Amino acid sequence: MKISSSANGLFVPEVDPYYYVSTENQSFLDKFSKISKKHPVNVLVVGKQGCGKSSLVRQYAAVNRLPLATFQIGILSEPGQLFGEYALENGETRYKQFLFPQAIQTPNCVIHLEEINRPEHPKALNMLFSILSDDRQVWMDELGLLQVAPGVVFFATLNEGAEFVGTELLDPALRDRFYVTTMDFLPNEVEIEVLEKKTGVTHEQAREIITVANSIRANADLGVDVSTRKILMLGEMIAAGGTLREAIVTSLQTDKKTLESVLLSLHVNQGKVEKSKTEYVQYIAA
Amino acid sequence: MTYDTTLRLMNDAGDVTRFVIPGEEGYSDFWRRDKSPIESVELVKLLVAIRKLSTFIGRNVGEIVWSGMELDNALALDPTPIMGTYPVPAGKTDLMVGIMVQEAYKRVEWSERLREMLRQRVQPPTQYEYKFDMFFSVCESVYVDGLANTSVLGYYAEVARDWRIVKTLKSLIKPPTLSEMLHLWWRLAAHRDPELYKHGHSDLTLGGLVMRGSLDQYYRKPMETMNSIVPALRDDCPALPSVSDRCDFRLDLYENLWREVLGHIRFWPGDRSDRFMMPDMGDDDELAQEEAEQAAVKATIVNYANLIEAALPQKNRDFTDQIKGNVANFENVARVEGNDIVMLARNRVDRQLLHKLEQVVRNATDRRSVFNRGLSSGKIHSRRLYRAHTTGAVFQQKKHEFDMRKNVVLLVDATGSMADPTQWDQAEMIYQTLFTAILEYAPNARLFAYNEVRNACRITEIYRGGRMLTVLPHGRTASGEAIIATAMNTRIPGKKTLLVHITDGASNWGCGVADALKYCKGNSISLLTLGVSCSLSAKQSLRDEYGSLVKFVDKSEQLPKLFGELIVSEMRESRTSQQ
Repeated sequence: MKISSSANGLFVPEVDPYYYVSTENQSFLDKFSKISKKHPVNVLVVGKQGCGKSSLVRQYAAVNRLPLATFQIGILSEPGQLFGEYALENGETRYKQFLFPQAIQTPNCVIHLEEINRPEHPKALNMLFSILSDDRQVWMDELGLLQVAPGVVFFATLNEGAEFVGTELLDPALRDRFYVTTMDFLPNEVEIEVLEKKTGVTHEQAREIITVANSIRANADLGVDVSTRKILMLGEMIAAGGTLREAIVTSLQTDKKTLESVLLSLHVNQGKVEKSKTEYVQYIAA
Repeated sequence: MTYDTTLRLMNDAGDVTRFVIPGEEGYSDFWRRDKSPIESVELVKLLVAIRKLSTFIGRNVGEIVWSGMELDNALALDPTPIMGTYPVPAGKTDLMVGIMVQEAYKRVEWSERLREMLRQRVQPPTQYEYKFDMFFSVCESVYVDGLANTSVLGYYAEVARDWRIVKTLKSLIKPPTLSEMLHLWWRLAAHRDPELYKHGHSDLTLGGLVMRGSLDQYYRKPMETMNSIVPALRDDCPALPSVSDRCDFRLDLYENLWREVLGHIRFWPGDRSDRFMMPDMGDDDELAQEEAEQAAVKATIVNYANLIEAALPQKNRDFTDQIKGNVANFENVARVEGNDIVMLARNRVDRQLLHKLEQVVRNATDRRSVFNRGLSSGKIHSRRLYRAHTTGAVFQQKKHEFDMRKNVVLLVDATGSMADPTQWDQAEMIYQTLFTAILEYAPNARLFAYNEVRNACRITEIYRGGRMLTVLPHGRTASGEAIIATAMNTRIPGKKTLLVHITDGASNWGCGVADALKYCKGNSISLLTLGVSCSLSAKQSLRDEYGSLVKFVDKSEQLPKLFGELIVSEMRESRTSQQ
């Protein structure tokens, strides 16, 4: 995706012409935009992995021509880590400021807090509490008083649906500070359109990919979620000349046994047949 | 027994540029992912894959094993044709899958029962018995191959059919023989091209035309007779709704056909083994060699049998003897077995409760600080400051990790008293939420449920592969046996076990809980019991059984506090016993 530069080093992303949302979510986003004109606003986007939550944030910034800054919360293990840390500079220890303080002080900036429920340590989010509260400011010894600029929108994304895999839940006190909007996978017709336009597969290939994805989704015993992101990966592989089997093997991200069950189910229930063989060759030139 | 049959293509410099594995091409390459180059492991993986595929054929295929492995009423497959190269090439996998498909369909369609019914009906004279068996086998093979042809399984059946036919035709005696005629008919009648059999057989080989004369003069008429049943076998019979109807249909079909065909083949030998038509020529070298090879393979499988059985997913393992050896009251021990028949559970995790429970469980963990040192930014690590003027790597990152440092096991009572939907819903909510909280700090924690099925206490692991599963609450409560079996089979050497038992009442079957408590105490297993939805009398019985290590949850919001108290009591008791 192309991005255009803005004056202060943050970027306004390019509009994705094939990004679709439900009219309800579109209406919500419109309201959030209006509220952000009065004061900064926090939005929590909840949905299954790969359903397009991050793309929604990017598209919101692109459509409204706003700069976007994305931060991975999953890597945080200490409070204050978002803001900066000490480093040596010319033999002296100095505090090195990260992008986050700059982003929150940039008017109308869209700040994406990715996977807000997965910090390495729960206390790592403590500094965010006051940023996200009505105060919209935080004091740091190293940086002084940081105030959230007008028009800033905080988008936090949260994966749901993996409750049994030990995903940390969002602290209720933190959750309390957000408007919440939920997302789900796109309907098949929309997925087919997105697949064709974004990956370059034919309509028939797109339809076949969706049929296969649906048969995997329908088989609860397999326990394999096929997200929109995975469908796009399947499409990319097929558009690059791969077979359906190659696309499934490389895109499903599951263990060997489950993958074998998925392929078996497609083979027997969908009649997918591909006679092939594996040989071993020298890989010494492209 | 591994043979190197790999072909190597070399360049002028003598370097191998390509390895070609004969027999690698096959349909199974589409789905087969879980392979191994180690013979015993590969045999397990292939067997698991074949079992998986058999589930698409029908419910009553039964267990599938390699011949040489001991299991009553199992479908035993002879692995001789596929042994030698590992991982087993796709072409050979296709063959084994094809053999399984044919045999599995015969089981599902009651072929053996039908053989006996037909034998009773036609009463073949002794001199025709061998021919009758051959006739029936090929007819049934045509029928099951026709069933396989309705799906991709037909490709595998075709591979197995071709292999069997080639193998048979290789050892033929001078024609005409019934074996040759039947196998030529099988090839045509079971072909995936449904019209092929109508063209009849033509022997166009040079050998056929010059050496032996065309076989058409012998086989045309009997094959036309045999062809008369193909449409009925392929279309009419499978359309019948029940397996017994299909059996009856084929019974009539084969009976009439046998009487018609017998007129044509009465004086032909079946094949070289037809002792009524052929003199005993003794075992020739080829047969002896084949038998020797089979014996060698069988010996290999027998050697591996225990290894393979141990590596296969456990099914209905019997723990009864194990338990009897650990209790004083062994006459009353109920039969205890493992089980893997489960359903996917609905998600009943209560998020608020989970949050509170996580804090409670965390209080029972040990905190560990993990440092990442020698970084170029972060927090200063004073002991590395001497490196400031050389590398500058004087910073560190500190991370806290919490670990229960125990082997934690949850055991849920899923017996009849829990069967009330409201009660089971609450129990599911409690154990799912509690287990999810524990899993956060003990990633290897395990979750089991026990119920009674067919007069046996069944123990089922209900958290597997990151998914919550469930069983139907049913039967009597053999808590003592369930606790001992679970404790025995989840122990980790060198790690203390914390066994949390969730129940709604006292044991009413089997050896009772006293022996279980004694077993746990003697083996450093801390047993905590949570009483859920208990009546007053049930509470008293549980207090009598478990003493101070039982708490009663009347409302789910009490769970964090009560579980916290239980954990504190357990830690106190552990410390006392250590002193």
